[in-house]
Order: sequence, then structure tokens, then C-alpha cells
Amino acid sequence: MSHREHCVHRGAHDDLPDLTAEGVTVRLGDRTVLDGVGVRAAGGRVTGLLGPNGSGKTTLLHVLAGLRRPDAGAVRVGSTDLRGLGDRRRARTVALVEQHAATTVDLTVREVVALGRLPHRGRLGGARHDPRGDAVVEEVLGMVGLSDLAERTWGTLSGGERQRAHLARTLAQEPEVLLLDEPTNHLDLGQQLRFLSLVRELGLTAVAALHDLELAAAFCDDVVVLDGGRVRGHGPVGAALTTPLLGEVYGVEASLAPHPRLSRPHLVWDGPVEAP
Amino acid sequence: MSTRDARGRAGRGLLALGALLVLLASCAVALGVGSVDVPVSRVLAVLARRAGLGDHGVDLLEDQLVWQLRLPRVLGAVAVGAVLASCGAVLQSLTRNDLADPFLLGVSSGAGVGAVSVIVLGVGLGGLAGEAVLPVAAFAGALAALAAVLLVASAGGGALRPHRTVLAGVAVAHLCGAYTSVVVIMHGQGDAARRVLAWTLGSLAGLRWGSALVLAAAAVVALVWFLAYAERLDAFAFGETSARSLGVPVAATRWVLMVATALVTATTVAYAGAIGFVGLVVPHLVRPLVGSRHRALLPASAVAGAVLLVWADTAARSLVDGQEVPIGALTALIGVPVLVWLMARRTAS
Repeated sequence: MSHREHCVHRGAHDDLPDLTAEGVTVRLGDRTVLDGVGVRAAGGRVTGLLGPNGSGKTTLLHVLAGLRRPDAGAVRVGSTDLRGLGDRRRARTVALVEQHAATTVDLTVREVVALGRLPHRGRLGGARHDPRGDAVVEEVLGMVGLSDLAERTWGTLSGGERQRAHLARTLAQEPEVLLLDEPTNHLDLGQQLRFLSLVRELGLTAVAALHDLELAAAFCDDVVVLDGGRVRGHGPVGAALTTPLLGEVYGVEASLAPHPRLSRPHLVWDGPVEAP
Repeated sequence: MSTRDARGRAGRGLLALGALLVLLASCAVALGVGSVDVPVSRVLAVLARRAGLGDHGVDLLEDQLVWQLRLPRVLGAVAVGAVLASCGAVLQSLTRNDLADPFLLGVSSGAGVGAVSVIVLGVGLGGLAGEAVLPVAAFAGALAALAAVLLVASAGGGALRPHRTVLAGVAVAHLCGAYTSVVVIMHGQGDAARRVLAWTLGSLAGLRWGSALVLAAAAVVALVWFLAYAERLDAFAFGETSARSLGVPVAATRWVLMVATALVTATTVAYAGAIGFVGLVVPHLVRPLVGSRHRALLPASAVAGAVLLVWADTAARSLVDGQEVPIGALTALIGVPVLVWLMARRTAS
């Protein structure tokens, strides 16, 4: 049974590894983009990565994905240091849904999803090195609800379908940790809600950079709030997103309130917002 | 829905078989066409005799025309077409640029420097025939230009970023072009300018068995090499970050493939000049038929490029009696309308 099937049907998440970053520092020239960032994304939970534009969310995700080597600090999945992994092993450990990854190449949905099998194949490629490949591709297409669109070409898909295809591609990598960089940008509200519900249902360890605090409050278990390259808040949504923190980081007067009908918090603006 | 979805695996097999048959038929016809026409049946008789399958009453003239003169040229056309088209497909994917072609890294202009130095200045002629020195000088010039482009493109980093590489290629090409123009204008005598221009537009007229076999070897090596990278090239579809997150060592892959395409392209330029538009246009023609996955796109581009060049070369040597039409002009004549059509189609969709 694949690791993924495993998580979908499980309640507890004790055997899924945590993703931890310690003292991650990234400098670009003389600018410090990330300054000693420590993050723990608990196994099987969805962690929202929040912060204003330019707070370092994308850079941190790239460090967590092992795509960017930090100037200091380390990233671990379970007890495995990402730096010690080869490219393909790393791609089987963490997978990244990029922010609006576009292409002019006219691949079909199935071909895009099959790209996710690349790290499972031999160096010289070829399906015979990956006997489970076709079955996994079919399975993840079903998980994101794209089985019927598998033969459609990229140019004919809606934004929501494209994002689901990207998600399926990362699932085909069978990673231990899923990273998503503002995956709901360019989607309409219905697509945003359906996409994030889908991510939640997977039950994988996931870290999603999100722009929208309301979505973060609704779909994340935990949040990390970045500002100016530093962690300003970290913990379960209800505990971390405090009125003082939101005021300091976003310059707004807001707080979390219980949802009128559901057992989750939602965000309310308290005071008038001053025009700049 | 794209047209290729209706086709199964069997359909793709048939398409491959059909493409190979078209290529073989084109070669058979091309071997018969020329100053003296040889019917296809006699062409096959010559080939059968050479293969040791009976005499078939082949006379010396037929054998000379088909086997000694035309076959190296046709084989060379196949090899050059296959190399240029597959290099174009590789570079368009690596740089994510639809306009990338095999001369992206300055090899054609660098080869031009070498060729002009021989044709006009007579460098290295000392006793040797220019015919033999020209390919060597062109290849050396191409390598020097490639080195310069790589040096400029990777300065202060090491990663060959596509837009930097394209800019470096353009810069080096202009420098080489300046040298070529100055040499032709200051030192060109008699028909030097005409010879340089003819070389620039490419020609397969100089191909003999030796050079044709070198080109064929280059084509085989290139195709096998590129096919080994087919799946990693697919991973470039969504850009560099996406490719890296799929475990593709992007920087190393770019270096290896860019240098490999430049080397095999330089080999074709050394013997046949810079034949334009094949590498640019053929991958665009083939994608609607076989899709964008490189496992299919690379061989399909190679076969289509080969067919195109066989016909272009046949036209080059038979359109005008007693004179060669530059093959680069013919490929441009076919390539430009196709490019315009592609642009119109893309704008429409």
C-alpha cells in the first residue's frame, strides 16, 4: 500500500514525519531575507505560512523544498536532513506546488501528472523502471477529480483544473511533505475553497503559503506568521492569530471569532481601516 | 481535445513506421534526381549490387552517380536535418523559448569566422587544398565562439540562465559578424564575397563518403544522447523551479545538453555551412502531430528534419541547371511561411 493511501484513511498522524526548519537564514547581497527562521510543521497537519508581501514566504518554501540552500540553518523531514539527500530522493520526500506555474507546452493532464513519477524512475528513464507508475498516476488523477479530463491538453483547462493537475503531479511524487506556494492565487472563490478542502482531505503533512487570512483560518491547523524575514507567531490558528499580532504585522484591527454555524474560527475586522 | 489523443499506442507505432517509409522513399527518389535522372528501380538495383545482392546489370555510370556522388550527399542531408531539428527541439525546451534554434550559442557565426579566414585570407592553406582545411577551420571557429558564449553567459554564477545565454549568443554572433564583414570588404578579392555568402547559406555539395559518415555518426550519437535526457527535458515544461522540485539537476542538465547541441551543430556547420530554419521550424511542425513529450518529439523531429533537408537538397541541386541554389535559402523559403502560419495560429488560439 502506498504511503498516501495510508494517510487518507488514518485518523491519527503519529507516523507521519514532521517538517522542521531551524535557524534558517538567507541573505541576498546585503539584505537578510530570512533571519534565523525556525518552523515546525507537524505530521499530518496543514500549516499555513502567512505574512505580508515580501515577508519571505516564497524564499522559506524554497528552502523547505530543498531548492535553495540557506546561508545558515537546516531543514529536516523526520530526522533526515534535506541537505544529505540527492536530487531524486529529495523529490520523493518533499514536493512543491508553485505559485502559478505556467507553460506554453501543450502537454495533456495525464502527461503533466506523469512528470511526478520522474524521481521514481531510473536515471535513463523508461516506464519499466517504475512498475507502479501508471497505477499511481491514475490514482492521483482520481483523488483530485481529474480522471475525466486526463486527455485534455493544458491550454484547454481552467485555472482551478490546472492547479488540481499541479497538485496531482506533486502527489504522484509520493512525497512525505507537500509544500504549496499561494496555490489559490488566480482562482475564483469556489475554486479556492474546493482546492484547499482537497488539500485538507489528503491528510498529508502540508505547508501552504497563503495570502488570505480568512482562508488560513478556515483550512489550516497551525500557522506561522512571517514578517521581515522573522517568525512573529507560530502555533494553532486560534492561539497564534491574535489581535495584537495582526495589528503589528498587517496594520489592521482584526480578530478571530467563532463561526456562527461551524466549529472553526473566522476572521472579522474590528475597527475602521484608515486610508493611507 | 488534441488530435493525438484519439490515437493509441498502435497509432503512434504506425505513425513512426509511416514517417520512416516517407524518409526512405524520399531518399530513393533523391538518389535518382540530378543532372542525369536515374529511375528509382535502377537506384534500387545499384544499392542491391553494392549490398552484394546480385549484379542487376548495373553500369559504371549509374554506380558512380548513385553510390559515389549522390548517396553521401543524401546521407549527409539526412544526418544534418536530423541533428538540426532535434537540437532545435532540445534548445526550445531548455530555454523555454519558441525561437531557440541550434545556432543559439554562436556556433554558426563562429564557424563563419573560421571559414572566412580560410576563403578570404587563405589562413592555413599552405600547400593543403582549401576543401580540406575549411571544415577544420569552421569547426575551430565554432568551438571558439561556443567557449566565448559559455564564458560570458556563466560569468559570476555558473548557471547558464536562458536569457543570459541567448544574450551572450547574440553578442558573440555580432562580434563574429563584424569580423567577417570587415575581412570580406577589406581583403576580399574576385569572387570571395560570393563564396563567403554561398558558404553562409549552406551547401551539401562538398559531401563525400568520409564527411557523410562523420555526420551520420554525429547524428546517431546526438539522438541517443538526447533521448537519454528525454524525460528530464519534459520536466522543463513548467520552468526551472518546477524541474528542480522534480529532482532534475537543472544546472548540470543545461550545461551538458547545451554543449552537446553546440558540438554536433558545429560538426554540421563545418561540412555544410549554417543551414537555417530547420532547427527552428521542424519541432513546431511536429508537436501538433506527436505531442510535446520528448520521447516522441525528438525522434519525430529528427525524421521530419531529415525528410525536409533531403528534399531541400534535391531541389538545391536540380532546380537550376548547372548551378546550385543555396540550400539555406530554400529552407528559409519553406520555413518562413510555416513560421508565419504558426504565429497566426498561436495568436488566434
